[in-house]
Amino acid sequence: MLLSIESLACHFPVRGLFGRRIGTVRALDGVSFDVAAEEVLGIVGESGCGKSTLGKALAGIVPPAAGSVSLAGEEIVAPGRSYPLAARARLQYIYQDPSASLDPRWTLRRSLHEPLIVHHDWPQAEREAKVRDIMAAIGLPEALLDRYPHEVSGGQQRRIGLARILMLAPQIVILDEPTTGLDVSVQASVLELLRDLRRAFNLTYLIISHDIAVLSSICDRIAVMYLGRIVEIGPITQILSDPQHPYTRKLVASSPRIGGPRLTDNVSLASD
Amino acid sequence: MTTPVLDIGDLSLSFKTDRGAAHVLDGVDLSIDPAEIVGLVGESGCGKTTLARAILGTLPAHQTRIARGHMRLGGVDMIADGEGARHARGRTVTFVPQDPLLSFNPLFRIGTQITDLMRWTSPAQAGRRWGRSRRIDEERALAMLAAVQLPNPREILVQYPHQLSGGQCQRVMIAMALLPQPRMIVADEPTAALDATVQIQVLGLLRRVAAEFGVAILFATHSLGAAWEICDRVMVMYAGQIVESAPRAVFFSRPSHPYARQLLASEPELGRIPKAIPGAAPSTASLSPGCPYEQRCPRVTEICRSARPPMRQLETGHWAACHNPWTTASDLAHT
Repeated sequence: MLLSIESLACHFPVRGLFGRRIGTVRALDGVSFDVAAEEVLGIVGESGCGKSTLGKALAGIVPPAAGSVSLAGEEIVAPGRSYPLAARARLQYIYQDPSASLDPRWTLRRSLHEPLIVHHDWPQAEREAKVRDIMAAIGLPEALLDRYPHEVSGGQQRRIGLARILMLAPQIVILDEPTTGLDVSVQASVLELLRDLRRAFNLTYLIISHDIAVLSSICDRIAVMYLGRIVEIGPITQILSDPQHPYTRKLVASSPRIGGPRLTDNVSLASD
Repeated sequence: MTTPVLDIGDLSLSFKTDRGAAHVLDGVDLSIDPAEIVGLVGESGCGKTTLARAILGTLPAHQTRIARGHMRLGGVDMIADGEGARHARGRTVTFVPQDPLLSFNPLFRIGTQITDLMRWTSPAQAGRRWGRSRRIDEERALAMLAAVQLPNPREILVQYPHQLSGGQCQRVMIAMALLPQPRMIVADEPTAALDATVQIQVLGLLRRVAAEFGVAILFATHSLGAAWEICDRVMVMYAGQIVESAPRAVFFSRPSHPYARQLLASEPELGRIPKAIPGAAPSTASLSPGCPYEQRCPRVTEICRSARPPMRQLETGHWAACHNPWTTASDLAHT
């Protein structure tokens, strides 16, 4: 197994007036699963279910309260353990908002050079060659390199975000809502790009999304999260055709199918 | 034949920008009957939000120029009759926003915000601040919250916006949009910010609201799945123009504009791989003399580059602006 997650938990304190601790939010509550090399695993759930916390815990952005994560046998996340630098290059995380992960005062070229400066000791010319290679692989014109983030479109910003993490040749990429906020036509092209890159670079993806329809078009397996736990995990065909958990059933039943029965004909309108 | 609630004809509107005029709406025709839900679909920048805001009168006046066209809402000329339009907005036509949480004032209880709105939209009906009449306002608010299927309306009235979930907030917004007894609601992506399971409930609610209150809904969305769920008619916008308009069943079984077909193919749906549309929408500042979709169109012919296709009726109620429309059923696995 490339990535093994063993009863991972993340707790956040709830503070009242004067910063006194009055409770705990169990954002992740004992999550265990494995990810095989070159697999695409989707993580779906409603807002607040802990799916983004899971991604951030795996990338070492949020410290765990218990449990462990190992990457190809080496433990990378555990309570009190600092995240190994080498693992940072091998496991990369892409934030939900692409514009927020690019420095607005840096040209895209500088943003793309930065990971190579941090992790490698390459001369400038070699870095520039790598940047141009990746730009070509991602299908962006080199003319964009001298622009600033606000000068390119949302779809291009996502592509730059992808280019940036590919600089370090990672094995696993965690994508948090990679298609949210994009038009359907752009969304489809980002999904196509993800499929192409996976083949070209032998990548493993962990895709976090609230949209099971988007996940169903790219994932091999799907994990369904509910209130900080994984309630169901399985191959995509099985999740869609034979969902077991009540929440999974509701999720699959809430996805409109053009040409199929109208869901609003008999949906229960009452608020939960 | 019923009189339409909203009747827009040949509406053309441009924004002043540093680089000259941007023609954001170009010859838009649109009419909506009572209780009808019309879906306005298209990519961002196609003009659907601009059209919605033109109806609501919330476009920046000093940057907007209406070049041609008319807009009548319930008998009021919304362009020439400034006073009438001002009165109609917020009363005859109301608005359901994309992000309900951002549209409430975080510092006031829901109940206060609802009764304030009632006082502003119908001062004659609403009571004074204190005493019995205030309770009458509250009773009306409670009845409306119950009508949008909120299970505990009395509790909602004393809560602050942050205490409600996204779905609850949007239900309160729909209730507030209904309180002035409008003839039409403009909803701009009302479910985009909600979870999938809540989304379908709110869509179902909008559909019921249209039928029960006889209110027309203009539903701007980029999701064809949502349009499939609730619309009676679908209109596709591209580069500020309506390029196709058809009843729901006709649109989804045989869309005729190539853009409509490609949009349908790019829609993510369970177990189907969405297909991207190559290229990007043209800039509205410099449109070619031909069809606006000419550069991305797989069925482009010589005439598309030189002449703008007019809206033509293909069958009853089904219009498309295309020189070379599809006439066969859609080959997508949609049936």
